Amino acid sequence: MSKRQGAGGSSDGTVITGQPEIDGARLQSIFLDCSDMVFHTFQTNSRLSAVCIFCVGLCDAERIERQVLKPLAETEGGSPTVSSTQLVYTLQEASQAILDGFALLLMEGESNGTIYALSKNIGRTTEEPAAESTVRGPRDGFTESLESNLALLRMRLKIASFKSKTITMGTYTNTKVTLAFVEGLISPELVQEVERRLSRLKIDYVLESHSIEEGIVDERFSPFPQMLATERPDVVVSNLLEGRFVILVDGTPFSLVAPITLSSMLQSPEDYYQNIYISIAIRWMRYIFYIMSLLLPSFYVAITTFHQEMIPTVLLLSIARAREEIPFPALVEALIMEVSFEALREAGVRLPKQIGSAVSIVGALIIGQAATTAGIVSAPMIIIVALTGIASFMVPRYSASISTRLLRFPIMLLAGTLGLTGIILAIILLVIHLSSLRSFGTPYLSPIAPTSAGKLKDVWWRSIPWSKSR
Amino acid sequence: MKTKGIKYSLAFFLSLLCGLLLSGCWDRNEINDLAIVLATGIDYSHQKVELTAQIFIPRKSGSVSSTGSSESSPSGVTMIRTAEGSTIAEALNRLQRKVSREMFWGHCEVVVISEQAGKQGLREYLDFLLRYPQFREHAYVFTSGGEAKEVLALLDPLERSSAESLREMANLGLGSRVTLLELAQSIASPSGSAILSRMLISPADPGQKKLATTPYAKGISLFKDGYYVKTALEPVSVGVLLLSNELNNFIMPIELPQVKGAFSIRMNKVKTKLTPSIVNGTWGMGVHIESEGEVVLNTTNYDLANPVMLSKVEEAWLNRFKELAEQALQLAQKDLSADIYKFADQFRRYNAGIWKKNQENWLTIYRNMEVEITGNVIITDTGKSIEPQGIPHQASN
Repeated sequence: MSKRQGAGGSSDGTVITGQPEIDGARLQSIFLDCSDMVFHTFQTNSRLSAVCIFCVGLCDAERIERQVLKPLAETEGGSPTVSSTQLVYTLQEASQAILDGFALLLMEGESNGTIYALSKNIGRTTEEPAAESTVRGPRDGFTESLESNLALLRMRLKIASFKSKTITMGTYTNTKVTLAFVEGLISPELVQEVERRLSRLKIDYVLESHSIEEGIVDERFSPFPQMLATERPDVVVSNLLEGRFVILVDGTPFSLVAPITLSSMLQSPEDYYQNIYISIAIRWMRYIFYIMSLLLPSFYVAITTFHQEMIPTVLLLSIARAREEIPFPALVEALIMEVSFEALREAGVRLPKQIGSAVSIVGALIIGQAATTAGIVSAPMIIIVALTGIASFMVPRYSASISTRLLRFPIMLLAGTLGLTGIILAIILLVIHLSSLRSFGTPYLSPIAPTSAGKLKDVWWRSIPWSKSR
Repeated sequence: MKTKGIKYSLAFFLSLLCGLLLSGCWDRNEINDLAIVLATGIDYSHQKVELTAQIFIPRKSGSVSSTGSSESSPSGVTMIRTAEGSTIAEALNRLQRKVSREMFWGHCEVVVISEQAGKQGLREYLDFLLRYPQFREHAYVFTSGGEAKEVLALLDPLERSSAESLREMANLGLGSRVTLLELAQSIASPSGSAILSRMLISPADPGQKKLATTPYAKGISLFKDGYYVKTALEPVSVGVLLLSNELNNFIMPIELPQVKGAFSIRMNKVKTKLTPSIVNGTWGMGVHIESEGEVVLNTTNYDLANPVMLSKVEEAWLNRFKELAEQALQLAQKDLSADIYKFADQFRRYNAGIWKKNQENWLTIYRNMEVEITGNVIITDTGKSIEPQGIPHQASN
């Protein structure tokens, strides 16, 4: 455990005197008006005065009584029976330890305090991750507790070279942040670089791992995610074994994995848990639909407003018939539909589950049925928007799918004003951006550009796990 | 200072973007603003070119029927507009003046040229159709015995439009299937001739509206040096198609000498191969016909399970082919002296040097050319039945 420091109270470097009354009073003045602090003053069996200080919500009071207070008070020369103990020498250290959920014991005649790890398990137990569900594969997900998350990883990586380093971040929250990696697989420079970036990051509070992600990525104003946020330990482990690192943050189930590439964002861990042919087919479908989720409405708008000769005749006639009564240009129609679809989606996500389904039913009725019957939106446009929606749901990483959700709109505007030229323009700009983007030094488009033939196999097809071990 | 620079560059970028995007908007063409032309017709009367466009009416066909207007035509999804001019371009210009939406020719998949217009030469039309940006060069070209606009005016009860029925007929291989580009190439080729399917209008069913009917293919229009010269009707047209390698979907009756009744053979494959030869300065052409077919009708009393009988039928079939080919050759060589079957192309490919030297008097060579017709036909199948069916008192055998 690294050195304890931070702004955990109005503390100074005052050392512990060895007189529990004085030290206790000093700590009491630090924790003035902290109703959750317990100061228990008592006498041990050998007539020494002692004080035990802990935070009532974070510590297991029953265990403190049984394992610390009872042996001291009842047995002659008795000592607490706690496995994990540590000594603190200054009041600052002591107060920080209390805030971290340790129980502090100050004894008469001892110029140090002892802290006992008797924290209570608060928060939930391991559950199936809500954002990344799977048909086949491990069903445990990270929780809000850093220790148990680390344990989930350790459970899968029973090797000593799986290393983890913890620091605290956030001036107010003092959140524990753990950097974990597998020594020997990851390049040491990368670890150094991450540690450098983490140490440089000055941040007031860390409530979710995204605030750290934003602080340490290479290009924070890119719409594309440069770190993979996942709450599945098996995903993290497979990434660790590919030489990546993970950042676990206390208080959130979402861990951050980097460096990542665009192609890895489009690969689901489930690809490796299924028959290889099916995985390859599904993977390709995902690539196609990812592009569709970005370009399909724009393509429709461009072709119907600028390049009618490109549509097969029969299809054009159907579209013409469907569009005849529509009062809006195709671009406006597409924007209306896409915006309302996004609104519907956002509403469905934020609402409680029970109401969420109602919203989706109402939305489907209004957007689908009523809008076409009223002649406001044409039926082909509904199909396009629905397909785009489905396509964006096919992307396994939420953070990757929201970037296309956003980019769709400017591309649509370009398509509506410049036609296919506009789409090509958008694609060129996107490719320029993507090829200049790096995630912790790794080119975002690798292994496609720059090409590395060996790694391309896992992009076009799917690698087989046993072929990796030489 | 720095933020000011960013602000300026942002403003500059935004104005650039607006300029770029808004100028693009002006070229926008919503589908609702287009008059989609499905077929083009070219007529010629009173020294003027008449251009006809078949335009798609994008009304929902469902809503038409729900209003109960049964008086409307069976499909009622197309209309025609005609304009005339001294040139086809002028006619097009005038035609646009008659239509409220911008005419869009990008989906015109059928061009119908009346034989009357063909007599004036195809050059002007071909140049226009291949030069005007919107026309498709793989549009099918037909001729019409009557006026082209009458063919386009039809409202086919079966298909979406008469353009669609013409296109489908071409795809089925009824008559010759010639695209605009092929037509131009064939006229530009050394032979300088072309054949086009000729369309007539079948009379409407009794009780139906006059327009509720279908065009049908009857005969072949022959073009020499870009000018219409003659219409070949059956049976000569069959020979013309045979020699042009365009005979598809055909059932042919075969009669045997001294046999009552006939066989009908459906051809599954007909291929004609031209083999030019120049021996001692004598130009000759070998025509080899390969065909496979199955018997679909047998009104004779003979059993086709008998191989001798089968080979007799095959022989008669080949003779019929030869007869048809000779008729067609007679028409092309002697009557029209038009190189319809592109012998010239074959000779140029065969020996370009000699061809170049004799290019001047090609027509004389052509008129007197010996053509040897050979063939190989096979009956692959005698249909579902072996022995003749429907003969009284035969079941007991």
